[in-house]
Amino acid sequence: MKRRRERILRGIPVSAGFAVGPVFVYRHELPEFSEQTIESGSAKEEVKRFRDAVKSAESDLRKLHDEVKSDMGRDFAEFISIQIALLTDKDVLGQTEQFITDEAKNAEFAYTETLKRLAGPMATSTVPFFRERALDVGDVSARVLRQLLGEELPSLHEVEQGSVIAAHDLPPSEAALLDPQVVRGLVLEGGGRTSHTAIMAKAKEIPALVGTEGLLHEAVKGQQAVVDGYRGLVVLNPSRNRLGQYQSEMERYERHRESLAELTAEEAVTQDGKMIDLSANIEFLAEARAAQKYGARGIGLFRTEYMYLARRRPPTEDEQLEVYTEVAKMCEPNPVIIRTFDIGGDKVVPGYTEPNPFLGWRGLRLCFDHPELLRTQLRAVLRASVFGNVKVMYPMVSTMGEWRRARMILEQVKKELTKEKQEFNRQLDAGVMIETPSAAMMADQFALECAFLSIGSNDLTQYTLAVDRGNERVARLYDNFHPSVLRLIKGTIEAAHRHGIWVGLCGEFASDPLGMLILLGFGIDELSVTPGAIPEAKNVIRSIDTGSAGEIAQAAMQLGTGLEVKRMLRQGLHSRFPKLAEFLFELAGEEIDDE
Amino acid sequence: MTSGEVTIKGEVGLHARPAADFVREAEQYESEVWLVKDGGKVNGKSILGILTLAAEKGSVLVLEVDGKDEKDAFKALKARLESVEA
Repeated sequence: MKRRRERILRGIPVSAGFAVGPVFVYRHELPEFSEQTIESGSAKEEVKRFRDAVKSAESDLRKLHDEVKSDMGRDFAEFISIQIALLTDKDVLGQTEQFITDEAKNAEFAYTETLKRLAGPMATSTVPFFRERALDVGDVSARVLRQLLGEELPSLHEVEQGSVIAAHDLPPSEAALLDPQVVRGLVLEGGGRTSHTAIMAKAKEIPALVGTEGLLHEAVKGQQAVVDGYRGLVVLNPSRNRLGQYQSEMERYERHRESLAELTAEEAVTQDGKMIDLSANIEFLAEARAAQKYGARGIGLFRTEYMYLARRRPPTEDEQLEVYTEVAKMCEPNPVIIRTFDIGGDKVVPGYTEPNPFLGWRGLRLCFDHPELLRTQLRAVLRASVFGNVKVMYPMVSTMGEWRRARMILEQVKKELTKEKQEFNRQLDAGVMIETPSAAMMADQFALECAFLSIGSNDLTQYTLAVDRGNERVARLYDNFHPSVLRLIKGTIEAAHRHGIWVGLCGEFASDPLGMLILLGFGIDELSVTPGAIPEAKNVIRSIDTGSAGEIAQAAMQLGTGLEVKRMLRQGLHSRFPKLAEFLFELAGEEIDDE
Repeated sequence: MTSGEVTIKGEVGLHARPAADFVREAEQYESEVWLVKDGGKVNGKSILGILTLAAEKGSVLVLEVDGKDEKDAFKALKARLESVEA
């Protein structure tokens, strides 16, 4: 047998962790067929063959629907009912049969041509919601064609326990069914950070990469692979050395994790007694449970866009109320900060593109153009506020005018609810995210009117440095530690404190130990991180005293580049908090490169 | 034939779920059902057809019903289009 060489491919990590297992290549392409003229007199048989194919496709979809519904809930199953409706469309079936009879063509060709004619306008619709349905039509037609051709549907059900899946992307129907017991890792050639599949992988804690170029060219079924969800690598046919390296790294992580587990019940309090609100960023109910398990103090950022994506339509007031209420009750008396829909730009509106999405129609801007969307959400937030410590915050604010407009809408909604005799917390705290340089510079004005400020460091960094970190040509310029970003963060924290309100930070910076060091030095009150990062963050907080951190931060602010700042912080950490430094850096693995 | 205009009020328009509901209801009637928008005319009993209309919020559709039970069908289907929620 030919020995294959080790290959390392790079992707974008979307779900952390390591996985080792055999590769399962999942292909979901339209099956190939040719146009054929059928013999006269056999049209009847051909029509029957077509009807049978549709019938078995329908029964497969019904099974899938019930499975997803019992597994994930009704919302996730809704798109499968839509696929069933598309499959059984009377026009499509009738016209395909007509085509077979009139033109004497094979069913595969007749069906594809009919769909092209009927669904054609959908794919070119300027409205994303409608264009997106073209994907469902493709999903359905592949199912029917495979039935006709007698090909097996690729299905994750047949995946061997403990496999690593390699695919271009997974159709939503499969992503919803991913079972972490079976699928240990996931590597996609396509997809994006916010794709349906990436979100599912993260929710199910399956280590995953997206955007892995060359994957399907290289990956072979059955070969061994390591998915490195930290570095963003997949190693195909790992050498014995490489496997050993990963095994010891996985053991180090395990030991580290165990030693942190003891902190779950402890407070996030610094050496000098400052209590930090260490809370979690979540999107799903499951993550709220994880946050509780890891010992978070409430939810610092509840992203709500996903409710939209899972349903593929805006969630209704009652649907939102149910979710918000459950999370609020679970966290009570700790706060749950619900961020209103941050849709647009690169998020959630698949197929909608603009020349400059990050400077475009997103967040509050989009919500102001769809006032019902925001109103419905605020009604749900307010009604949920009876059941716990609920707060609301607005994303993508760049001017005071936007904040005031949002505040006015909130007041109108409160009036509506009062009129309807609905109960809600009249004193509901509302704040804004500080994620544009303009908002950071105006932080003192926001602080006069808001109940709190929450710095969104990822976007603030992108906007301040004018760098799209998704663009690999400039991504290296993206730097949370750049002095310009740090000045805006420091100024925001000081402005909030001058006006007596608390200020937090949610973003990757909040779980970076060096980032935490400087933030604690600036006097931050709250940090919000992904649930899995809570134990590590708590350990950092408990090891630091804010006096020393303040001195280090002050020295770092005298420097001119991000690199100098980072070096200064690292030195400070090593000299003032040697035990913490040793604990943190024992994890740091080696760089891994293709030879 | 009975026909009349209907304005779509839901936030994302006549999207997949209400379209599926509409088809299910239309199929209860013997009459033919048609939806017309910007000169395009589709079968109201075809979800694919309805989705190709891409009827956004604020779209004005003409609902045409033709057949024995057209009066009842028109009334029910018009109400369904008008109640498309956000």
